[in-house]
Parts: sequence; C-alpha cells; structure tokens
Amino acid sequence: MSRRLLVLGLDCATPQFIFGPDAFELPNLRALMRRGAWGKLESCHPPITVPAWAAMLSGKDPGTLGLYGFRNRRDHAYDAMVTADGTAVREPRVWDILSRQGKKCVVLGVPQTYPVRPLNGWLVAGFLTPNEQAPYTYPRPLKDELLREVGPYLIDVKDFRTEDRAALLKRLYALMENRFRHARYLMTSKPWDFFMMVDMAIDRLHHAFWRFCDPAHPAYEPGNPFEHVFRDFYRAVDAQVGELIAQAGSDTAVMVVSDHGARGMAGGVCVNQWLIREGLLTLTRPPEGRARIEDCAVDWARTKAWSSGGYYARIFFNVEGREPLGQIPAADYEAFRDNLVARIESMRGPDGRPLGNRALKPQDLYVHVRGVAPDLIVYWGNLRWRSVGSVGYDGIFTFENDTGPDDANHDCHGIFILDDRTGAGSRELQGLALPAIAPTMLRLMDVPVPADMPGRPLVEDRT
Amino acid sequence: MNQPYTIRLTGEHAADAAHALGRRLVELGSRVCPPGQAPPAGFDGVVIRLGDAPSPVPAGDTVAISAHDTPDFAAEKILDVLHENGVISLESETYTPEEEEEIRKRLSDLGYID
Repeated sequence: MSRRLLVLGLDCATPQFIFGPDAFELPNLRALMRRGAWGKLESCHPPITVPAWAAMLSGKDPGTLGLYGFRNRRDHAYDAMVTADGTAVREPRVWDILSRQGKKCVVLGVPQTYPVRPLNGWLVAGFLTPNEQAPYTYPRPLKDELLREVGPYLIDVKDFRTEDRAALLKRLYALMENRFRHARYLMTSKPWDFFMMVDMAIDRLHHAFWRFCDPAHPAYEPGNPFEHVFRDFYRAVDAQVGELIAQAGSDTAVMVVSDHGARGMAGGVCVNQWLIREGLLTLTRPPEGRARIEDCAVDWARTKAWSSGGYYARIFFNVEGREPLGQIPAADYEAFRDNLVARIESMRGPDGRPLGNRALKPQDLYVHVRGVAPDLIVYWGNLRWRSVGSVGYDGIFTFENDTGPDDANHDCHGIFILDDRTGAGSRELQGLALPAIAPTMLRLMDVPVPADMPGRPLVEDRT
Repeated sequence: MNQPYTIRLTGEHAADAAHALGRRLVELGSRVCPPGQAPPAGFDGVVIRLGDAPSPVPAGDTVAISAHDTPDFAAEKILDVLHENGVISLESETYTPEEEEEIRKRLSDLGYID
C-alpha cells in the first residue's frame, strides 16, 4: 500500500526552542520525535526563505536554481533586479514529480508558488502572492471555494513594522490560525497522497519579538510583557500541528521542517557605506539623508563594487566586458575577489574586536552557478549582524533600522522531524542538510529519486 | 487561433468536464463546438468531443478525466494543456509593475531586502 505524507513547514522554526535543553513543552512535536527521527537541519547558502524552500523541495542548490535571494539580477545591467516568483523556479519540486506519478497533492502557502502552476491536485500560493485579488489557487475555482467554506486567506501579516507589539502579536496568531484552518479544510475535503503546508508566522514572530524573549539580547528587559511570547506561540503552533496530524490519520507519515533558524541580531553593517569608505563605490553626489543604493546616482566609471542588503550581503563587482562600465579587468577578477574577502573577514566591530565575517564565493558553494550570481555572499558576524544596503549613515555600524524594529537575523540551522510510522523509535540524526529532504519525501512516497538530485534519502527503499 | 482544434475527453466524468470546459472557453473569448454538435462552416474554435466520437477537424489532444477531479478542476487542467499548445492564451500572471513594487516594499518591510 502506498503511503501518504504530511509535510508541515514552519518557516524559521529554530532548533533551540524544539530540541535543546531549553526547548519548550511541545507535546505533539515531542511525540513525533519519540516515534521517529529528528535533528538540526543545515540550510543552504544563503539561509533565507527564498531560495531555501525551493532548494529543499527541488533537491537542487541555489546556484543550480539560479536563485540567490528574493530579488536577483536579470542580467548584468546595473538596475535589472527582479523578484524571484514561482516562474523563477525552473527545476521540478516534489509535487511536480509526484503529480507525474499520479499522486494527488495538496500544497498550501509554500513560498514561490505564485503565479500558480498546474499540479495533480490543489495549490494555494504563498506570501509572494501580490494581493487578495490575485488568482492564487490552482485550480482557479478553489479560491472561491475557500472563501466560501473557510473565509479570507491571509497572505501575510499586515503592518509588520510597528511599535504596537500587542496588536502585531494578535495578527500573528490570526495569520497562523488562518493557515492551519485552510489546511484542515483542504485535508478533509480533498483526496490526497502528499500534503504540504508552510506557515510563515514563526519567522515574523522571531523578527518582531526576539529582544523581548532572549536574555542574551542587548535590549532584553527582564519581566517585560512579551517575555514568554515565543513559548506561548510555539505551544499554540504545536496544538495546531497536533490537530492536523490527528486529522491526517495514524497511517500518514509526518515530516516537520524549517528552512532556516533564527538568532539574535546585534545591529547592522552598512555595506555600501563601507564600500564607499574603502574607495570601491563612488556616488556622483552624496544622498540627502538615508537612501537606497538603487535610488542613488552611482558613478559607475569610478566604482568597483556595490551591494544589496538584507539579512546577508550580496556584493557585485563592476567587471570589464561584463558590466556596461566595468572597472575591474577580467584578468584581475580573482585577485580582486580574494583581496576583498580578506578585507571583509578581517573587519573589526565597533568594540574593536574581530567581527567574524564570512565572505563566500558562489563557485565554492554550488554544483552549478546559474543566472547572475553575486560575486560574494557575505554574512556579517556570521549572521549576528544584518546587512544594511542603504547609504547616508554616519558610520559603518548602525543599531537603528529605518524600516522599523527587527531583533533577529537568520541562522544556518532549521529543524527536521520525521515520524515515518515504522515505529523505529526516537533517534537524533547528525549532519542533516537540505539536499536530503526532497529525496526523502519521494522515497517515503515510493517514487524513484531523480538521478540529478545530489542528496540521498534518509529512509530505506521499501520497493 | 485561426485553425479549429479538437480536444477529446475520456473517462467516466468526461461529459461534466466538457460542460465546464465549454463554459470556461466561452468566458475566455474562444468559440466552442460542444459534444454532439457539428461545427459551422468556417469554425475556427475548439471542438470538444467525448471518447472516440468523430470530429471533422484534426485531433489535437486527448485528456483522461480523473475520477477525483471536479468538473471545474478538470477544465482548468485542460485549459493549461490548450495554453501550452498555443490553442488559447491565458493571461500572464507574473507581476505587473505595480505588483512588483508592492512586493518589493513588502520584502523591504519584512527585512528580506535593504
């Protein structure tokens, strides 16, 4: 008999809250762990929602996918950045492969599924859906069915950058409960073999509330009113997980995964400000106040490198014969890159101590480097600091955030839990990494793993 | 399109799916010749046939309707087949410039880009 598989994706669910000695009391996730296997799951580079979910579900690394972040360079022009929507994922994901094998799939809220594409089943797109008016379901009539039977579908949390944390917390609960309510409806109303949902609320929670919950965060205040929101929210998610697992039935294998984890954020490194100071980036005139680099007048004839910011930095070089006004001779490319790696990795923080930066070359990370890759991927303080791409700051380091409060950065490890219903018993797995997940899903569904997936399944072949 | 095209549906629920498909094609502005009817002279739309019923226009695709699919769902899948074969044109659902800006702002607010 073919098995069914339920995959619960909890974006940004963090190992320390689920596995470690300080783990919260989460009876349903604990029960899965007792019956199955679990461990920290190493994300990809960069450990960001896009590309991490696509890498996990295609079994291909971000370089092979040509996805290096939410927005990617379309070509080597200076202003050609485009959002990586669902059409940017050009490798089949698990449900594409299962659909071809006749398996019925339900996919709910997975990032990079808008615009929707056909599958053998039902799909509700994730948070990159532009708005509620968009056709975010496959088939299209499913949208009206959900509106009628479940109510409005919440794409993401509104007004995230607010100081009114109590109101934000309510909206995060509403987002999470809305996603699970849709899941319960789809689970009971559709015949399925493979069911996957992703909830984004934990990610938003970490970014908005880390300083309130982590005693190690510099801004933590004991006894603050939000001190236990992580514990309470994880428990609420756990209860929803338990309800869904019960609905799925005891013969259904259950996998719980996250695409990355989170950690406290110390501050921001103003990467383009630093490149200006190093003489590698020149503006024709200084910005009036803070400005995005895209909105600045860059003197490309006197610029060798510039960067996109976010939770990590992507540094692009201005190379002769590649960019329109390239300044780095192609023959000097590797020497320039090695020199910049050394300068980045030797940077010191505001306290004068080494920051612990990591500057990574895409060619060292990926099987293929497709699309227009950054020349360097940089983790400031190994992700303890975010990357501020805007300019107009007084110095290189900032403890402010123009867009509003954010206390967490992404971390390289997420979670993996699998109860494959074989009764194998609790075992912690070491060395888990994203490439193993898609092959494991396919193996659990008794579907052959494509030869071009480099990862190996974590379960035995039953066929 | 300017050439007629026959889509053939098979399976237990093919008739229901054909009805839903005809309705959707009309909504999309296509001309439709439903099952059991002969296309008029000069017809340049989509001829829908059930099973191996004869059609005066060359056969295009044959789609087996799954017993699990609702008629609407089956119709959407067939529309995708017709779109991929260039028989009809479904609107592009990639971002409009306004949506691209909306998404960019949302990603910036969420901290993903800066």
